[in-house]
Amino acid sequence: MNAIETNELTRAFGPLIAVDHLTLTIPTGTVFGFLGPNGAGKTTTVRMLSALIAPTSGSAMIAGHRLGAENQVIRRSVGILTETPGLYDRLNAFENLVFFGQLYDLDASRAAQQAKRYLTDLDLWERRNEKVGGFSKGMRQKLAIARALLHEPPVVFLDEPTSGLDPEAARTVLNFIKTLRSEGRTIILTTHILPEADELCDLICVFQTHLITVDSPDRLRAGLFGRGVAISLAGDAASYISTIKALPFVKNVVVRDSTLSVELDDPDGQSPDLVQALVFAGARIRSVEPISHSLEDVYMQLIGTKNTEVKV
Amino acid sequence: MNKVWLVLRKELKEIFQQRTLIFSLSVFPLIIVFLAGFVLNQAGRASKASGSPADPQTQIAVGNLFRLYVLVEPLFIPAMIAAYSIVGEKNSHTLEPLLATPVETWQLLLAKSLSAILPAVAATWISGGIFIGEIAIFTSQAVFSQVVTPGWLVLLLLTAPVLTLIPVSLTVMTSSRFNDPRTASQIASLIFVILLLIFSSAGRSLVISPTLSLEITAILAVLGLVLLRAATNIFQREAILTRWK
Repeated sequence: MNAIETNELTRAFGPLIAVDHLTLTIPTGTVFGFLGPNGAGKTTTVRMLSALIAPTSGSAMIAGHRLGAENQVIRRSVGILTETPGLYDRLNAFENLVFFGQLYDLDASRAAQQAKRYLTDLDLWERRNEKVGGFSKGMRQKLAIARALLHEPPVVFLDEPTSGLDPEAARTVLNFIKTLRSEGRTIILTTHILPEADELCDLICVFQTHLITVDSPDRLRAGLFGRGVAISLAGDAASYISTIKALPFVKNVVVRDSTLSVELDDPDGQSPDLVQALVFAGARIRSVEPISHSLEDVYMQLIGTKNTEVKV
Repeated sequence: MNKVWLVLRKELKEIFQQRTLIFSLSVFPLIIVFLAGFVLNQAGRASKASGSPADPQTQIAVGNLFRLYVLVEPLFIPAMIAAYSIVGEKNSHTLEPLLATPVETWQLLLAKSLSAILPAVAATWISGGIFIGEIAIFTSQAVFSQVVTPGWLVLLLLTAPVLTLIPVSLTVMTSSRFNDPRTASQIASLIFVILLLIFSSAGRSLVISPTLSLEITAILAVLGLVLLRAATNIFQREAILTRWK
């Protein structure tokens, strides 16, 4: 079953089209990274999918409920961490959570129970009676995440969950998201911190008003940059190009200083033969490593291409 | 209604934790009851000192003036509370997570309106009660019957609660455009000044009978409901998230 399905979902604000015919499928239990530049329409999409604003056209199913017809049920089925935590500064941490828990239709004792659970999980239980106005940014962010989960929603939207956090707090939040994934929840993560998206996400969606692509981070990398190995040699690497090009499985080779970057379809299976050929040819090999591209490379390639298309 | 009560309780808790707001809200009613008591008492003493009976016309004029001031409270207090409540939510970015919950916007608006109306009505009735006590203590029975008329009592008990709908609705409307609670309440206050002028001139020149008070209440109720309807149209998820600046 899919947690979210959208069909040609569109939202316009007057003449401005914020989201343009978005068709997406997010399988249940996936951590789904929603990437795009500022103003790409990510927040508008999240607001539509959490039944906060209506689409101009198109349709969507969220947790099995039809957007527009079952908005109240959708609101009960999703948790949302908004860009700014948005907490009541004059209430303490526990009161904030119990208040929101009850708004999510939990009775008072269940709301208190859930508040205790998540405050404990996020290392805030000892600070439960302190007013939120005195909390650090990291504590506020953790509290806002706890609020998004109080009613145990199957679908959770997290907008920049680690933005502005110190490394320790960011790590706590990232580990917590991994725990949520292990519980089978579907998490839609909006972030500009691409290494985090790479670490957490099963699927990455690159988006700029309309969908550019959706795939797993590894398949995106392979699709854009190919796969291969980087072989560092002692001596002149360029003199071995002909040896490598003679191998039928080599797709491409590039030399930079003393390193050969060789593009292969199956690096794990083909690199032993490649190394053997080089050794037979007299090459002295220092190291062999898989070529890795960061998600940032992928993102820049996709968004850069998109921007070029727009300019043209 | 459970959610209305939940939000209302939270709103009242927040209001009573804002010392500056409580101070601002208390000053006007306190000044009115203190000044009314002081002036009525002084008028009585001056007459005793001169050996002449207290001048009932002066006391009636003073009483009529202050009884109108008591009725200004339901215009002024709810505007301040509603401005802090709604603009405060905007500034602390709590509206979006609040609207993401399954709470209905009418429940939210009703709770916020009640959180502004209830303290205002309580303050008006308390200061009205104190004022009645001062009239009873410092003036004669004849003055009392001229100031604390059945018509004025209807205004105090019925019209005052109805009157609170107007500033609350206007403040909801102005709050959607401003990020400073003071600006929002001040813009709404411009309307109050006009209403106050009409009210005070009518109050001085007319003998306010219970029937007239009920008619005024009915007119204000219609006006309040029309404004509340307009405010409800502005206070929608979509509008709050996409149009409120």
